[in-house]
Amino acid sequence: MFNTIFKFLSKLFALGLLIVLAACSHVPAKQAANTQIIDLSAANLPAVAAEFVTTRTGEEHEHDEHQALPAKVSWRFWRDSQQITIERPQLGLGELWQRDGQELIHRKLYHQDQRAIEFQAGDLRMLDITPSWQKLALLLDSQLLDKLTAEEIEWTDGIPTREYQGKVADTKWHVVMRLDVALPALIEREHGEFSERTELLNAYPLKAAPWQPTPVNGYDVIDFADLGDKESDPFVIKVQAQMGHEHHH
Amino acid sequence: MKKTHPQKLAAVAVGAFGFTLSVAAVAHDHADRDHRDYHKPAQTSQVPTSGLEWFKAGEAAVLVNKRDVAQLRKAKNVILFVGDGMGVSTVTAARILEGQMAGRDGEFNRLGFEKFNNLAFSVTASANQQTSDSAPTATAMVAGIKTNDGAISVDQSINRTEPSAEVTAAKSVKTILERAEERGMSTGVVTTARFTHATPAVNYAHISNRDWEADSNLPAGATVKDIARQLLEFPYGDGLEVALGGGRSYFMPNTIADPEYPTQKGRRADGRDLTLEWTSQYNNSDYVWNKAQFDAVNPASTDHLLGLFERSHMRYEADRAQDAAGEPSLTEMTEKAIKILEKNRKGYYLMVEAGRIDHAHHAGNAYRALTDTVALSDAVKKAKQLTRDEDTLILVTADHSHVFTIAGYPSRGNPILGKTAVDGIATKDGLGLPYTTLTYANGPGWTGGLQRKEFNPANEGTVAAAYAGSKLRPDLTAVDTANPNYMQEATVPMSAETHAGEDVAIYADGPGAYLVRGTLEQNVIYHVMADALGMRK
Ligand SMILES: [Mg+2]
Ligand SMILES: [Zn+2]
Repeated sequence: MFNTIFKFLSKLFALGLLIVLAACSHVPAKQAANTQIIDLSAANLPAVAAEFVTTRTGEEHEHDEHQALPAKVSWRFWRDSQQITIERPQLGLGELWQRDGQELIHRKLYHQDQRAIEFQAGDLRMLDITPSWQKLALLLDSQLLDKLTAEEIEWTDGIPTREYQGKVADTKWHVVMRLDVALPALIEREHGEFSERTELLNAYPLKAAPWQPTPVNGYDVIDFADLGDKESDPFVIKVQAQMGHEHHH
Repeated sequence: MKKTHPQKLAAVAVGAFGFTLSVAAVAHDHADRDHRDYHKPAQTSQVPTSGLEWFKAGEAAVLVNKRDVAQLRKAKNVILFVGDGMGVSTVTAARILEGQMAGRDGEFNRLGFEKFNNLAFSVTASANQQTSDSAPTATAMVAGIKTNDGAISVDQSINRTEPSAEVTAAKSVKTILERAEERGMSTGVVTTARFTHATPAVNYAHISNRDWEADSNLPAGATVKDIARQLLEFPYGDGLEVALGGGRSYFMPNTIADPEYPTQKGRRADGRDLTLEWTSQYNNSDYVWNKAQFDAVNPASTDHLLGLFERSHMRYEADRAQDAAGEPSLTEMTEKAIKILEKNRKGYYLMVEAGRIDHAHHAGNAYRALTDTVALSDAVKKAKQLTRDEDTLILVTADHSHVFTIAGYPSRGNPILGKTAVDGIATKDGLGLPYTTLTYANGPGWTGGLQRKEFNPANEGTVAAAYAGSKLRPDLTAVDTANPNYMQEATVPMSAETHAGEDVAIYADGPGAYLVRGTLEQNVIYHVMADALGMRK
């Protein structure tokens, strides 16, 4: 079946945002002594790099094969106050969010082709993709956390975490936030037959990250708004075909 | 047969549109005089309410067209308005939306250019396409020839990716703007798209591939100049007087931060900052990139104005207010352009493009396509106010259509962005579900067999629209389809909705406008303009 960009977007988006977390308290501590507890609503969250793995079972929606994704995807995440990058090396895909004044600039990165599709603020608004910076930075909507039952802070190996559980709409959530780095250590969500688990594998201060985002300087950046007029561009044709095939993995 | 009342027509003619006679205005003028008990006509169009009134309104429209305007042959100025992707259904829906948003009868409303006296169909097929893209269609209008897909003012014998400057020069066709410059006229191009985008580019550039907008887009070894550079190295006359639009990054080096988005850089690899070159190479010139700077430009003392208001395309009209640095409207840009160009006693040529109707349609979003169409109408009204029918030919057309339809049997007055309803009762499809009046034949709004995301005003996010049982379409009963971000449904799944191949309309007023009649090949538009300007070879 064919997939539309919009649905493709919401899918990538879902993967990006509803991610995972994990491993709770088994993540080895990278910071010790002066561990601070970060307020998750703080304007500037610590600059970090992290590695996650997301596993899914079942289909997200009934009769909804287009939502299918590889059962297990590992991905990397870099965050500073102005820029968030996510890469899925397995898929050769990445995404970039930049905060520029009040504007959000978003790019989908296609590393094999060295091309990118850029979404202007107006495109994002039109597509109803208007996440808050906080949501992008935390990988979770803090409003969602507010709706879940929060436990007391727990310390394990010098790492403070807080566990959240509950049901919102038809989805059952289990989230563990690492409060030293303001990242989810685990996100589990479940509805019907579908379940998704995202687990934090490693987290580092950004400056100490063992890997960097793929450089994208030379990439040819095309506008989302221009896709419709690039019907003969081999990259655009390929990307659209990929979207169509994604569920046939 | 009733006698005409010349004095009445004359009185009408003095209205807001000068010589342009509004059918609606004439209609209520007659109705008012012939039926003393007819309630006072509003300042705006009044919808006839009886068979007699409809009859008289129809008769009045014929009387208007009987007026001989053919005395006017030679134009001093030409303004070509292009709604990119503004097919006839887009014009109709925009007319209804504008009227409804103003609390008037939408169906009886007319956009500014719909009151023009002359009309023709434009056949948009290009030399090698049944349904065309914006490059050959714009080339047709501005260079007078049909050519192939992607071609910017070069003929159909060129390869789509011709890298040679020499070959490109040999296949180039001189444009109406270049001829105007040669004659010492002033020239300008205004667009809401990137200034290097196909429709504006055909005026001043010659290149086989519309995508070669900056040097970094050119293949290795290419000698042809990129589109942005061709604006600066324009060899005719004294160069363009007005260049307003988006696409700043194509004019700036990749080492320099953008003024509006400091985290972003230009796209040029050759290190040239063409915005600086503009002001250094022209006298009395200015470069502006935000609304405040634009407003401060004095047309009396500015002879060459470059305005680039976004890194890429400018905002949709619906989103313009949210721009941090501020952007002028299409109307404001049109006004500034005319005031700069009209200083030239030899006259001027101006293209004004509403470049983003096309983009909104490609995204399956009727709201932005229609509000950008209304913005074009406003710009045309402003141009009419600022010019005289005696010396200025104004054409309004589209380069091509989109697969956008107005469907069902909604009652007159049913909200155009709403669900088709008769007297407020939703009409149902074969599955028993309501449907919108506006839909697309293809595009991202495809819902067949899939869950569809709908706008959720509660959290400004999306929510999966419920499918009732095994039904193959979403139930829109609880969906606000008038929301500006609503994506209309589409029949065939495509990640971007496509252009359509049916004819588009050409609306014309002023000297030379009488030539606009019948079903014309799109490239005839150039020849109409050239004839009116006395350029016919
Ligand atoms: Mg000039
Ligand atoms: Zn288009």
